[in-house]
Amino acid sequence: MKAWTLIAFYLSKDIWSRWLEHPGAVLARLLVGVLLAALLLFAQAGFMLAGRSLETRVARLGAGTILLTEVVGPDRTDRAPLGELLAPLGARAELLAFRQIPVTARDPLRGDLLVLSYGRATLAALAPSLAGVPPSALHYVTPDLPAGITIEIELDGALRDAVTVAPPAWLARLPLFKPLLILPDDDASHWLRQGHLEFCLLLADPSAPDAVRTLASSVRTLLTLENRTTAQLQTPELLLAEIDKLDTTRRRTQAAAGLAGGAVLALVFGAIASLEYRQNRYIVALLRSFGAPSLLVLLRYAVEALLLLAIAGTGARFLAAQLHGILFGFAGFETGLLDRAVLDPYAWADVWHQLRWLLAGAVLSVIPISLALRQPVGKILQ
Amino acid sequence: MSTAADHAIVCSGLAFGYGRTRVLDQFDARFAPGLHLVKGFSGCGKSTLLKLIAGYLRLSAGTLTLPGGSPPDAAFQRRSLGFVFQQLNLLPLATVRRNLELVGTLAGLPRAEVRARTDKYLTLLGLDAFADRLPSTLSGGQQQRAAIARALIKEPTVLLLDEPTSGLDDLNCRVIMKLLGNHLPPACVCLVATHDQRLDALPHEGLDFNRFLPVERHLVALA
Repeated sequence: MKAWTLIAFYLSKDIWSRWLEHPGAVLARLLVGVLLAALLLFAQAGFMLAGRSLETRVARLGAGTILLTEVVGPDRTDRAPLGELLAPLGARAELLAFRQIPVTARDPLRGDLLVLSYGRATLAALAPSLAGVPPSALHYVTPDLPAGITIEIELDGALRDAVTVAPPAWLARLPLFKPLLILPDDDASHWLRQGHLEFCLLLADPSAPDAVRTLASSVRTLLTLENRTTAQLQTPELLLAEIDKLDTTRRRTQAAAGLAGGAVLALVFGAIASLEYRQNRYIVALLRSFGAPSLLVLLRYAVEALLLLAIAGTGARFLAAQLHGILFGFAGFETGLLDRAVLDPYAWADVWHQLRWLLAGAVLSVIPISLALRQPVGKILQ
Repeated sequence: MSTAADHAIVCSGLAFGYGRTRVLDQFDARFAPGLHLVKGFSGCGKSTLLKLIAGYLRLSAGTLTLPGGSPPDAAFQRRSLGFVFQQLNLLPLATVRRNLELVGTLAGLPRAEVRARTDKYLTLLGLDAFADRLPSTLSGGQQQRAAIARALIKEPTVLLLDEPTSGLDDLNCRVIMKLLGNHLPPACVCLVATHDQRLDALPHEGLDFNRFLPVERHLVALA
C-alpha cells in the first residue's frame, strides 16, 4: 500500500510540475472547461427560467382550473346545484360555486356589472377578501377602486349600497370581462327562481398535472352518474398535454446540449492529455518498468482532468452567478424571476445535474492514454 | 530445496521481431547465476533479449523460464528484477535517494531495510554527496551509477544492464566494474549487454550474439 502511495505522490508531483512547466496547456484546458461549463450552466438557467415563466403563465391561463357551467331554466331550479354535487371533490381542489343571475346591474360611473350569487361553500374562498371590508349584503369586486368604500349602484332598477372588494387571486383564472357584483344565495332567491347560469370552479394545483387529470375524470364520472347532460365541462387536459410535450422537449434539448458539451470536453481534454503524454511517456514507461500498474498512471490523468474540471466548474458557477441578472435581464425575463432567492439555477444540485456530462467527458478523455499505455515498455525505453 | 537450476534463466525457442524485422528466431540459451556479458554489433538484438527477459516486450514465440519459475509480470518486475536502460533511468522529479527508496518500497521491503540498503548502495557507488540532489543536476556518470544503485537496492535475482558503461570515463567504469565483481547479490543472474571491452576484465561467461544474427557481417568487410 505504501508503494502505491509513494507512486501516487510522485504522480501528483508530476502533475504540479507539468502545470508549472507548461502553464499554457493547463490554462487552455481550464479555459475550455470554464467556457463549456458556463455555457451549460447558462443553458440550464435559461431552461429553468423559461420553464418557470411558462408555469406562471400557464397557471394564469388556468392549467389547474376545471370549469363547469350549466344553464338552469325556471322549470329546473329544483335540481341540486352543481356546487352540491361536486362538494365531495372539495378535498382534492378548491371548489367555488356561483350562479349568474339574469338581472341588470349598473355602476353609474363605470357601466354594466355582472351579478353573481354564492352559497355557503364558497364563502370560505371569499372570506379573505370580505374580511377586510365593512359588512354588507352586496359587494362590488373591482380592481379600479380601493377596497372598503361604499358606493351606490343600480340593481334591478333599484339603488343599493355596495362595498368595494379587491379581486381575489382566483378571479384571474375566470374569463370574465366585467366587474362583479356578488351577493349571498339567500339574498338572491327570488331572482334565482327565474332561471340562472350556474358555474363551478375547481382550482387544483397546476404543478401536479396527473392529479388535475384524475380530478377531471372524476368530475366527468360524477356528471354521467347524475345524468347532468346539460352541464358543460372545460378541463385543462389539452393544455397539460401541451405542457408535457414542451417539458419533454426541454429535457431532451438540455440532455443533448449536455452530451455535446461532454463530447467537446472529452475531445479537447483528450487531445491535450495525449500531447502531454507523448512528452511524458518515457517517465511513465520508466515507472511501469518498476512494476507500477498502468491503472495508477491512468488514474493520474483522470485525476488531473477531474481536478481541472472541478476548478473550471467552480469558476463557471461563479461567472454564471455574476452575469445571471445582466444576461437574462437582457434576454427579457421578468425581474422578479431573476431574483436568485426565488429561483436559483446555480444550486449545487443543479450544477451537478448539468456538469455530470462534462464529468463523463473528462473521464472519457483518458481513453487515448489508456490505449497508449498498452504499448510495451520495451518499445518506449531504450 | 532450491538448486542452481532453479536460479537460472532458460530461453527456449524465443522469437521476436519489430514489425516484419525478425530480431530473434529460435533463440535458445541458459543463464546460470553469475555475470554474463552479451556482446554483439549494434542492432543484433542484445537489448531486445534483455527486454524480453524483463517482460518489457512480448514474445512472439518460445518459452522463458525465470528464477523461481515466475512469469515476467509486474510482480516479478517489482520484486525480483533490476534493470538499467541505456538512456533514461531516473525519475526527474525525485532525488537520487527518493528514486532508490521508491523502487525498494515497490519491491515490498520493510522501511528500515529500504533505508539501510539505500545508504549501502549510495556509499558503494560513491553517491553519498549527491543523495539529495535531483538527477538533472548530476553528470552522466553519476546518473548511471545512481541507476545501477537503484537496480541493486532490491538485491534482485535477475539484474539486466544495457550498456551500463557506454560513454563513461575509466574512473566511473572501474567503480561499476568493482561493484559487478564484488557486490552482486548471491544467486543473481546478471546479464550485461555491452560493447565495452573494459568489462572483459571481469570474471564472466560470454554470449556472442553475432553468431546468431550475422546481419552486419558486411560491416566487418568494410572496417
